[in-house]
Amino acid sequence: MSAKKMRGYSRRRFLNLFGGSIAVPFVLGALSSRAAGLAGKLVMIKGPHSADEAKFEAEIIADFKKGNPGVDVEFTTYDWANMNAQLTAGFASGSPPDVQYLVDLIYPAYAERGVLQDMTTWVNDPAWKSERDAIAPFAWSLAKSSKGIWGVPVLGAVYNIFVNLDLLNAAGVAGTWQKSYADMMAAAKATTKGDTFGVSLRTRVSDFAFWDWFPYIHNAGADILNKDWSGHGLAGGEDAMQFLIDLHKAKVTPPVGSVDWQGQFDLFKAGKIAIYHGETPQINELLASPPPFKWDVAYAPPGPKGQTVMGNFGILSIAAASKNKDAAWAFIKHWASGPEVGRFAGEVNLQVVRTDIVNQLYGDKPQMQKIQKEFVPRVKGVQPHPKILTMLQQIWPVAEDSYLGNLTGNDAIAQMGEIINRLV
Amino acid sequence: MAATPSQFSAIEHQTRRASAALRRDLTAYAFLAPILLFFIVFMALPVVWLFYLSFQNDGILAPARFAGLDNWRRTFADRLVLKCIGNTLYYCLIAIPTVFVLGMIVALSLETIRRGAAILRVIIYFPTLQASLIVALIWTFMIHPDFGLLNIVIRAATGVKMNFLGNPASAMPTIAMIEVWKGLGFWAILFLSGLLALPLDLYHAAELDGAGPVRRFFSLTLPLMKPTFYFAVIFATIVNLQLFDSVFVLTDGGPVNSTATIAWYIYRSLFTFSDPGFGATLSFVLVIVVVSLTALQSWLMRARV
Repeated sequence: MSAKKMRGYSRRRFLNLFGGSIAVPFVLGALSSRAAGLAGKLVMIKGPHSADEAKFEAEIIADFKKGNPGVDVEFTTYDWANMNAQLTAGFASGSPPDVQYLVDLIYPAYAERGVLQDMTTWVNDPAWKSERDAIAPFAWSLAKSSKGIWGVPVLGAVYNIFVNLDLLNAAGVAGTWQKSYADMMAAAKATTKGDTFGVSLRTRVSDFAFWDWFPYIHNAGADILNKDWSGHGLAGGEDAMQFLIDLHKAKVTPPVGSVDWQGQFDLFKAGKIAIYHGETPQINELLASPPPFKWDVAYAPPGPKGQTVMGNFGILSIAAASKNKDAAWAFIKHWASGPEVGRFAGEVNLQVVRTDIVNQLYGDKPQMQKIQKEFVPRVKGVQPHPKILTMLQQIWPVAEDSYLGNLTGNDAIAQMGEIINRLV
Repeated sequence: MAATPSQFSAIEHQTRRASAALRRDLTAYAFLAPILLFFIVFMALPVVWLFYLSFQNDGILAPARFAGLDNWRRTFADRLVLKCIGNTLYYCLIAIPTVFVLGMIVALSLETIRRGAAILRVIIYFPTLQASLIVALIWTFMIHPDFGLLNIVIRAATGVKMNFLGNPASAMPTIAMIEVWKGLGFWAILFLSGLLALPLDLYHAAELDGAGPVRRFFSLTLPLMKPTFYFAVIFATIVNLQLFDSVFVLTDGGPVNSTATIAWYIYRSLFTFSDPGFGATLSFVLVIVVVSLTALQSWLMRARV
């Protein structure tokens, strides 16, 4: 455009035209997103289940974007050991991540304080019925309280035992160790030699040691809280507690506190532990770098009141302060859908709570199939009390003290009960 | 009656002097304003807010609810609070004297070294610059029961495998040892700066009078270093009473709460137990402990400095 022609335009007219030409594509873009239904930005936060978590989430987000081009999803993580601090800081900021992956240990405390959105209306939407019904009822019961539904259950983690079959076979106890606690003790003693230990159990609170302790307590018919949650429910767990104490006293475990959970796993992989208490994501590592021995997955021997497996579950929640709740719900529906959650669970070796995809999962991983089909139905999770994590953290020093041989099973359960009663 | 020239000049002089003083004060306040503002916003107000929170329940995620003296009553009834205070004082009693004695020995050695002194000072100061997480990782590998270097040496000498952090009796001394290692460089350099500032003529006179190195150390160095020690004791107490990083990374308060410190319990109450009122009360307890101990030390040492 020549200078002469330019002089024909006023500055205001030029700016109007220029501004308009810039703005038109944005307005059209925004309108087309709105026409597609949803727009805006979402932030999702989750603890990592794999070193490749961000890559797996990017796959889910990319699929979501195909149907919702107007919604941008940013993924971020918290670390498991400090999840409460990081999530609390987010909620306290007033602009927390919109979508939150929360485990059953912590979400009740947030729900009680009103920082989570009650999702009852969305979950009960008739249009979503088939999807809702695909999720096992026990999982829904872990995601709600009398005041609402606080998330959509998506994943579960089973705390299974890994056994070194070579060590058990060499000691002649492979077929018997799982029959009773006495058999487990005999197997542990038979396989403990030199720097090889029969059993390992987590002992540190920072390793969430209570996950390894729970099945023995549950198998005895005990739990943290009684049925109406009015007091502790540990009565009956004394013998189970004594059994765990005896394992440590018999020196068939690494000395209390000497080796953290990762260290115990490293010892197992090195063939130095016969019966190792672990978690299903570790199966991936064993499959990727097979140890020089035969191994299998198992659960603890039955107790006097049953045969349970410990597991904890994760739900996808919406922050009450989210400014884009409809988009957050759309994203949760997408994340929880069969293809997405199934692919993710397969990638990180976690359990799903959808009953409709179980048979399609883990085709190439017989150990995972075994866990999904045999272990998951036996899972007894934590009681979703708002103070459940506080209770577990506060009773754990008593467990440590008893593992060190300073308390009997009876004394330990009595002291733990007192602590829980104070907190209820 | 009109003022005489001499009266006028006296009044004018007084006014000018007052106005100059006012300008000087205002200038001083203007220079002080940023730090005063920082102090008020980041230190004074949070302390006041903490005190307010100590009479409330919630207040971070949910609206605060007045709780009266409940949190204070809980503080005195909670056995873990007493254990945390005891553990923290126990740690201070191990760590502070140890780091002072070692720091002084290193400072005296550095003072006498002529060649390579600068490099040695950097090397000795280096651990102080490391993040607590790095220090914790280094020491995890040093004291690991199976492959830790320290444990290998101990096992070779005694045949015993030490479970440093897993044993309630040794866990806190181990953390103190790690903190001493980390802080040694700082204290050594501080003491060295004190030593280098001592008047040499006194030492020459003492030497002429026949005083040997030991006599000179006890009769000259230690008394002359009192102002440095005065600062060091108070500063070290304030810093060490807030022990948190190593505990959080290495033991998380265990085993059996043997390394649970006040700062650790504050963190746990605020962020894990979602109990900000109680956490605020504990924070205030820590403030009271720090201020009381500092005042006591200040009073005891001022008389002697």
